[in-house]
Amino acid sequence: MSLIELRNVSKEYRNTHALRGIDLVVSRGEWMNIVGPSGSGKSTLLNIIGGLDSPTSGEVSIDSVDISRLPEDDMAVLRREKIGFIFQQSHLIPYLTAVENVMLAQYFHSMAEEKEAADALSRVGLGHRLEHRPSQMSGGEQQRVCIARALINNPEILLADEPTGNLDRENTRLILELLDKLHSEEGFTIVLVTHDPFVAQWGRRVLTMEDGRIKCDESICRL
Amino acid sequence: MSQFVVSDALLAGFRETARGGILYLVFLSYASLTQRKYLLAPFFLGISVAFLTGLSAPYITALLPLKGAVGNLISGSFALFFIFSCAALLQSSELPLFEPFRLIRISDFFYRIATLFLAVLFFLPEATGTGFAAAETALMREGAFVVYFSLAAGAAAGGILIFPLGRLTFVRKAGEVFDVPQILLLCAILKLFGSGMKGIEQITLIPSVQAGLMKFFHDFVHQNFVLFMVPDHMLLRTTAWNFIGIFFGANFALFVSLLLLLSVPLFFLYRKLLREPVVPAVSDAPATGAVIRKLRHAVLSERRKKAAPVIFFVFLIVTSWYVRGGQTSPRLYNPAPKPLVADNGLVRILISDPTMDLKDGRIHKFSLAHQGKNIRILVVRKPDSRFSVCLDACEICPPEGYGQKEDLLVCIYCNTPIPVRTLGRPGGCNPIPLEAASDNSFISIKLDELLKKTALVNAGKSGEPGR
Amino acid sequence: MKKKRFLHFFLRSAAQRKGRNLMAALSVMLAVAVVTGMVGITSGVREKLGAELRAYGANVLVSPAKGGSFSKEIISRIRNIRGVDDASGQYFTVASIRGHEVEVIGLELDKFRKMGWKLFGRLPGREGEMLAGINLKTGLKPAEGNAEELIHGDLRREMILSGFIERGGPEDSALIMSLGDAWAVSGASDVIDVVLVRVSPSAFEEAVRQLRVTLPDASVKSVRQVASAEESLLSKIRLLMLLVTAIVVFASSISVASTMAANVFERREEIGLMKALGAKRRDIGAFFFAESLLIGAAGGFFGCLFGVAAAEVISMGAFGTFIRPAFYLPAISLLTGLLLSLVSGYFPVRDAMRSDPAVILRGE
Repeated sequence: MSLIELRNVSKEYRNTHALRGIDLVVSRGEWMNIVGPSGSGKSTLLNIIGGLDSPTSGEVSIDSVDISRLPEDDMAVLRREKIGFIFQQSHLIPYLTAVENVMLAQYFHSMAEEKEAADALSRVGLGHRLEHRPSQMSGGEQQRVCIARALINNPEILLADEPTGNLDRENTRLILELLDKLHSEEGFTIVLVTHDPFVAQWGRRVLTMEDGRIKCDESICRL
Repeated sequence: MSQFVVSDALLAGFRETARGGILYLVFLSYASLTQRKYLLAPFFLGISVAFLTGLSAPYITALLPLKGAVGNLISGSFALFFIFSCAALLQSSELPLFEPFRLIRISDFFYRIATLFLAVLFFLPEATGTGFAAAETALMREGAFVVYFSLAAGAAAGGILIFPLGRLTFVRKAGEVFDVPQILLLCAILKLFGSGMKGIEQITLIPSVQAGLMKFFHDFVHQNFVLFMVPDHMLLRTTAWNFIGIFFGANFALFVSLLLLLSVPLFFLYRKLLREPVVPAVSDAPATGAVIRKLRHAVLSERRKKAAPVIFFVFLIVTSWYVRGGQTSPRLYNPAPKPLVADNGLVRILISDPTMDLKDGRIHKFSLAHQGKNIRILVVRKPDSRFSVCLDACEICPPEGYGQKEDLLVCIYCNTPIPVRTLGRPGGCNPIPLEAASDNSFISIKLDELLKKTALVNAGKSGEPGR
Repeated sequence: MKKKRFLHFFLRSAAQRKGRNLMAALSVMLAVAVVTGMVGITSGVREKLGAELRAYGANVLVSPAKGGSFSKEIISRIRNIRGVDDASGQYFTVASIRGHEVEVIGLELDKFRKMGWKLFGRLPGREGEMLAGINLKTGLKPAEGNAEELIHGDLRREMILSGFIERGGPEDSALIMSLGDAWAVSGASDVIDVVLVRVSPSAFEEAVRQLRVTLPDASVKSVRQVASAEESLLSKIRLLMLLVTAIVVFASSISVASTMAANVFERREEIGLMKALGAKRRDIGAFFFAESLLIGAAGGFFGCLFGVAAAEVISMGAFGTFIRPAFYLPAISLLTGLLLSLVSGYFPVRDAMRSDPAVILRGE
């Protein structure tokens, strides 16, 4: 059953077409990577799927709900319940500790619960870093906090925009292994944007974009 | 109330409608959210009955006695709403005691009757007051039409202001915060503050409870402890009275009455806010951490919302207690005592001299130094033209003396008012009377009489008490 | 939403910008102090208007129309008018006591009412005794019961001080004695400068009319009139004060607005993130709203303290008395502070709520 559906989605900014006529269906539990050169519209596509941006034309539905015309506040509710985000720059709040950053996500969802947040951080291997600020952690650790934060509300979809873009090879592998593990444990859908071919090997499906259009869409068989 | 002018009529109409309108909006929201819209009909019926009765009362002979009772009706209805709300609060505090009551299914019919009754109870007293005031003014000015028209105009203005507010989202959702107990509390609050500052002073339960308490302590102690007091044991009496005197203090009674009033609401808040909620079991959806958290949050927030009006009520009562507390000591007229000397076993006071006239109806105080102690005498001319000569102390309280407020003598320690015209009787909080002779120029008191009566004073504090 | 958690996040974030928020709070404090001071003075002084008369229990003042003075028989004439409960005359002169010039007020001591007066000592019992206002106690240091010499021109008279009075008015710096003594001090006789009349409220208008008819050479003013004369003077000053206040408030509001705008700008990454996490516009707005409330409350609170202090200093300097601040003054200060910062911060907060998360998160 399809979780994410895009029908003829286009996005225009002033004079440029970031997306042209995208048709896309993503099923539950899939891990899909989106690759392509910069400017091909992959980040825009991700933002539209996550409701942070709305298409100029076309329809987007998440779990059969048309979000392209949804009012901002309703979209916020949907986002907090169903979608988790990870960004290239971790966008952690610098004056909050790791556990507080995770609690922030809980706070907007319903209410903050410190124990649950601490458990989530332990699961990503940061049980010893609970009270540390982002500035006291390495890039890899920061991204792990982001993962814990993104998953704390048990979303159905995880959207990751170049999550390992700022990390070295070793940390990249660690992060991806973590995501793989969580993906198989909890069964959420991942849509991951990257320009790194190594990263693109993870997961089962690769969407290649060029010039705002889908160039090819292939499922890869893991060796 | 007798100086009711057109502007007053406008204001009255506006005020009544505004107050009723607030209740209506809240009730409407509650009824919509709980699918009880059928209660609106009895609600309006109750309002109509109340206002028809109230406005026509002055013209119906059978209802004329209501005129004097309006004040009591208002404070009585406030008291009733408060008591009902306490009962409702207790019931929803989930006390094991009330368990059997919850199983009784309350029929719709009962709700209808209850709504009708409560609506009448809420609106009738003020409607009657307005009705009588309007009728009185209508008689005074030429044209009852003007008065009633202003009343209606004020009501219309109030309606125009209040009813559109019903469209606002947060007003429509007010019902989430109000359940039956909170609505009853709201009725009590609206009654309390609907009559303005004076209303707060007159109809809070606090002064009446406080006065009742003080009287109770007073009489209880007087009856039971005086018997135990051995006259010669000065020491025992002093310390015992010091202790007991605390109960007479206005502040103590004020504080206790506050506690009494707030006990039920505070108990309700304790039960609701300070205990872990019971989260309902999740049936079909996967019991992920987020889902459980969401349910928990829903339960907690529901409890908190319902507690909000109660907290507000407690806050209001405490504030008005604080404000009133600062006003329980009115400016009493308390002149400094003039010195006297005893001459041959006789004390003489000039009735009038250039600086003082005993006949002016105000209290005059004098002090006589005798063997190291000061005896204070109070003289005042009563409305029947006779002089009242007494000690500036009574038999019960520490002798702080009396102050005068209009035609009342007020004991400074315990705030008991004593009408001036009743002076001369011994006992209780009355100033101890002295036998005195008076002629055209002097009031004469025998020194022996003074000393004899002074022995009756309970000098809890030795020496001269302060003013 | 758990309010405690909100407070936690909010306070932590407000502390990040301590310096800037403090500056904004300071400017609010200034504005509130000015407003409080102005309201405090005008309301405190208004209490005193007409209080003079009321202290004597009178509600009508009769004074000679064109300067000059009355003679004592006018008092009995006034008393005979229907509706007049009582009347008493006063005479004013000056005398020098211990080298200082003080005002001397002569009045009918048997009509002397102690309403609202504090008496230390005792009333003069006979001729040659006087009372002194409490302010003279420190200045001249006369001791009770001693004889003082009063000098008026060539005349010298010895008077015994029987006590001090305090009322919070100009009498506190004057000497009070019987009419006869005052006349003796100044060498005048049978001179009355003003008559204080108490008219029964039920026959007020009629009695005042009768007074005016019976005494065509006198000016008959009710308490209200006297008060309004003093009030018109005050209203002129008030206009100026209002102008100054408006300017200060406006300047402060600009400062608060720019502070809030800077805060919003600085936190745009946070705002974008919170929206990505699912925060509604309302939630974002709440954080900033709370921040401006904090600024307003802090500024309001301290502004109230300073404002009251300033009002007391000014009134002491200008009117010679301390005013008792009205009990609603702290509420006014707080409200002003809150309103000021909420209104000033409105536009920046609205911008914060409307910001586009995608733009924010994409950049940098």
